[in-house]
Amino acid sequence: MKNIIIKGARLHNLKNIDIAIPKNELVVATGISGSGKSSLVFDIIFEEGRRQYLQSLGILAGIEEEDKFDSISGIGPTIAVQQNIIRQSSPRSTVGSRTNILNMLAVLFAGEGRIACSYCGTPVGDDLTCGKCGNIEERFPASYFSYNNPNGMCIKCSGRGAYFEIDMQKLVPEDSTTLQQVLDAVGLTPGYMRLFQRHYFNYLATPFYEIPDEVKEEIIYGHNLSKSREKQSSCLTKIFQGRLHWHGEDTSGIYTWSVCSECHGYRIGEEARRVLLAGKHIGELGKMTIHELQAFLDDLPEKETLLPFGHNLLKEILRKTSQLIKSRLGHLSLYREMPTLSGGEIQRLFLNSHLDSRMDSLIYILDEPTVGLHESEKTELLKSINDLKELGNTVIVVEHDRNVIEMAEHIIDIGPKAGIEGGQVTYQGDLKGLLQCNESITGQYLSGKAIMPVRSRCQIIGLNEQINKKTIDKATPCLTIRHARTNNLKDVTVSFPLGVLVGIAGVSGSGKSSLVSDTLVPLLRGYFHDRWENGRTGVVENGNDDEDESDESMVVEAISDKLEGVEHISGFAEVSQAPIGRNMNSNPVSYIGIWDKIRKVFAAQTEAIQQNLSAGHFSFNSKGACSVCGGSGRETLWLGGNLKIDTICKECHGKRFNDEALSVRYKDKNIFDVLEMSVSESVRFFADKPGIISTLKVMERIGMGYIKLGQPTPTLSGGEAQRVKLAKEIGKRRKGNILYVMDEPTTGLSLYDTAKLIQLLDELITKGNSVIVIEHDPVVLSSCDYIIELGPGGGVEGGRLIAEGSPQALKENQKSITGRYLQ
Amino acid sequence: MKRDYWPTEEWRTADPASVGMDPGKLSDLELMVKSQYPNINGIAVVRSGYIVFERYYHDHGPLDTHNVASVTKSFISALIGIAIDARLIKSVDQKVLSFFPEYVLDASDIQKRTITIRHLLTMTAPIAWKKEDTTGYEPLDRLRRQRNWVMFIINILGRNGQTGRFQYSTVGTHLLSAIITHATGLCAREFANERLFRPIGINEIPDHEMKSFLLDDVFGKNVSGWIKDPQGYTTGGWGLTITVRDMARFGFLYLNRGKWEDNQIVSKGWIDESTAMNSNKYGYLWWLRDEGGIFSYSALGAGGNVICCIPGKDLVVAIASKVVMKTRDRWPLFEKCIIPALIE
Repeated sequence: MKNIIIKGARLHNLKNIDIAIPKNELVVATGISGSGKSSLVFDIIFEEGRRQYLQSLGILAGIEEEDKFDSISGIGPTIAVQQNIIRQSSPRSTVGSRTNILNMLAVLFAGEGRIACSYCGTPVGDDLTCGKCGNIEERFPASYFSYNNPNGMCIKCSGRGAYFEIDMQKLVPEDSTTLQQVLDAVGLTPGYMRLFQRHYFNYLATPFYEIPDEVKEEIIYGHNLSKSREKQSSCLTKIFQGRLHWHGEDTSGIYTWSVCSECHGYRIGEEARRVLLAGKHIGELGKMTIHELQAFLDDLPEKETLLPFGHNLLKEILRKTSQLIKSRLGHLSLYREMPTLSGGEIQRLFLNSHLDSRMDSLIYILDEPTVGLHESEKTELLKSINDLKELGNTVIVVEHDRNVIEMAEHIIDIGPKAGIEGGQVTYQGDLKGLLQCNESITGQYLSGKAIMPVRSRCQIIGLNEQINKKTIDKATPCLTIRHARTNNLKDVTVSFPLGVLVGIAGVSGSGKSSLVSDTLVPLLRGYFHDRWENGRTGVVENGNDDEDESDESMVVEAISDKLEGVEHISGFAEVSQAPIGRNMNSNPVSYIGIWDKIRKVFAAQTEAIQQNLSAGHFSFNSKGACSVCGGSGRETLWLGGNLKIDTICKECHGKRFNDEALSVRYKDKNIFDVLEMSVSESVRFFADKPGIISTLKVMERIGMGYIKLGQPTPTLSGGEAQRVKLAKEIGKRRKGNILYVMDEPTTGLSLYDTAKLIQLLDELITKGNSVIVIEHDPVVLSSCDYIIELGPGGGVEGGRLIAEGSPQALKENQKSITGRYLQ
Repeated sequence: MKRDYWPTEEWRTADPASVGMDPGKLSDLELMVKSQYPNINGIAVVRSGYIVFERYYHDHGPLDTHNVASVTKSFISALIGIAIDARLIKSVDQKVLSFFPEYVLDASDIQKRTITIRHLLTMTAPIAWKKEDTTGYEPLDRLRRQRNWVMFIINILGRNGQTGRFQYSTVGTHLLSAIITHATGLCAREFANERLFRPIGINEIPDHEMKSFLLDDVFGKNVSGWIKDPQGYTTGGWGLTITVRDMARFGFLYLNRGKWEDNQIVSKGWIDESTAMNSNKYGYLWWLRDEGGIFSYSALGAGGNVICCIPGKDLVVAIASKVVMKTRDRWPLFEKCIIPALIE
């Protein structure tokens, strides 16, 4: 069969559509956000392909829950590469573990490594007997070479290569320092101070070192509170972790992330460090860049006599490393942690692993693979995608990017608009036809018939007429960072003009995030947190102020001399793409803070009052929950390994609430119906309740009208999560003078929605605020008042300021890589 | 409890019916073992001090010793109790590191410093690698390859763990054995011979030279006597070999709250403390169970090795099994045959 044929697709907003999608071609599915393209591609094609494939293996007998379509044919095994799967990796996952190269090296070391005698250090011979002291060694299984395995991990750092450490000298400088003095020095929030004072009342005046060890331990490390694994009492370690992670605060050197003193960052145990190939242990290989590793392994057969098995393994490893180098990932090391990779690096790595498998006749579904990539980097990604197709696969890409759409052999445009106004095939065919299609908004924007908004007040940031002088007009207030050296930044001194829209550009890995998210934002947090602590005014908003939250992920220390000009702003808001929450019970309405208000509306209805139902009875997290599924609405069946399927709760049929809660109606809708509403519907539904709809209206305006009020936040894409945060920020309607910092706000946005976003940013500026966006999108960058470009390359080749100025100035600047893509 | 004899020299057998057991139900037990429990090597049921059921399989007999894996831990528990009774150890709250002064601590090792004998007995000491996100298991194979087991174990205590959280750990129990040696001057095996085995008629265990510390010598078919680590510390978490009848003697001592003939071998207080029910359902290296109104405490080891004591019914059951990876739960034997066989 040459086509995937779907008849009567009607999931979500899809309007009973029939569609034939050609196989073995590069297909792009596009359309504005919320038009239904993901429903078609992910929820129908991907899910059905996976389901049929699993069923053919006899893994699960068709559990149908939703009536998604009438029929589907011509489908094959499907593989999806989705943004949210990629982004939520654990810090234990590294380039080496992800690509499996570390495991292969582990097998190589286990079989072929030279063991040094554990007594005298002399390399033992082939008979494993030490020639010097006669000690007999035993070979180690491969697990001893893996930092993720209890056998192989360094026992001091548990395989992370570093750990958090409390410097007791700094925490308790004098023998006479009392507990109260320690707590004062730590600078606890009033709430925590009360908690500690109440709990350790008897010891407050005691010199810290004279407190019994058990109590000291509890103060610092906390105790397990219950049988549940997570509950830990409040303790200094937890507070420090929260601060470092969420506030990026300087903990005055008391609590630091230090390289492990036992393994020196090599992550593996003493055993594996005694096993060498050409003089190096596996930890040393893990720290090399892939370029260096390739060179080292190339020379290996000359330096070591390998068995045939080792030779074959080595060949296979080299094939993988050269493939990675081809995908321009040679600058990474095997030990590089996944969450620290740039968006472009992650995409290339994932695509690489699929290209590497060399399977054909599969259906690949890619979710916006160009996210996080600079225009200049897209060519190679597009080539990889094309290679995947050339292998004999069908590749369906959900994408808004002009380059990808232009390369597609077949384009499907779903629309015309979002939600109820979408769900139809507005266009299907080649590019030429799309550009001429008047019904397709995508086509209109691509052909230039629809034009991008013009900024209402374009600011002229004077470069004193001379591009090369690189000085900003002295009259313009600026934030200035001096000598930033975070991550790969090479002593960067840069000024961000305020009151305007500033774009941060550069190829992936060039240091944009290091400059903004890892340097500027922590410095701002430090500044505003101090002011807040001291009871003065100032706004600190960064998504999460909760000191209770802690995370194991890598905390980068911001290295810079200082930040100047903060006095020009009254607060800042970082609107990141980090997931809002991993809790399936959290949703947009609870996040933007109107959930309580909606529940109060229900509790005020006559039926509720008669039944004595309070607002709490309309929460699926508490009294209102369905008693069978506990409010999740679903049951999860594990099929072994990573395979699981979700089915709907038989009692509440996925409604999550109990009958009592569902019986109450407001304007003929019950609480479940409200959660099922889209943002746009709810704006009309609650039209007479301004307190509820103010933020929802903002969401609608930035192209999020299609989101359901009750959609669990973990299912939101990074871009969607960011826009919900943005809406929440803007919904607060603060007085001006706030600095908004955003990381790629166009992720997941069609040109149509990008136009809306630009308008919104423009409005923020008009109201007297400042905006800094990290962005690749040439459309947004062209709309900026000022661009700061980092580069020239990624990793060690980046970290320098290569150009700055207005878009026009960048276009004329030979050094700028971004300039040539601006409009 | 008044006893008409003590099985110090020899166990006596009795007709099940004469001590209130239904012989029919016991023959069901035999059927069930034969059909569903292929790795059981021997089983004995003792009611009111008399053996009412005893069977051996796979060519084993009453004189054969069996590697009983973690059942060893409950013996270590008794030995700690005996050492405390004899004031050789001050109390369960004594700090573990006070027995190892040669171990040099970092200033920040506060967590390690506060670990007590009680934490090790109740499996609530913090241990490094059982984090949720990793495939956490104790690297026992790694332990056996160490030149100094005790140092290795002390090194992994503390970091990343959470004091007070139940976390079953075999290496922690090995430290208790080393503590017994530091406190008594004898290795745990010698201390057991003198203070526990000899008085109740368990065969004393002589020293066995460890030829090497390969897998089979430490965990496998070469385990004999009661093995030891490279420094000569008797293994604390496993490594005892013992007959089914001796397993039953140890259980019987506990049923009698530590009294044997006219001697208090283990104090009543220690046994009560060791087997007091709690939210972890784990005492001092004894597994606790309270089901259908029947309270029991058991020594359990890999492969399905069991010494189960049901004090309310004056019952001890000892099961020796070949240590294999996946085994059928032993509790159905109690639920379906042994407990129903009791006649009130």
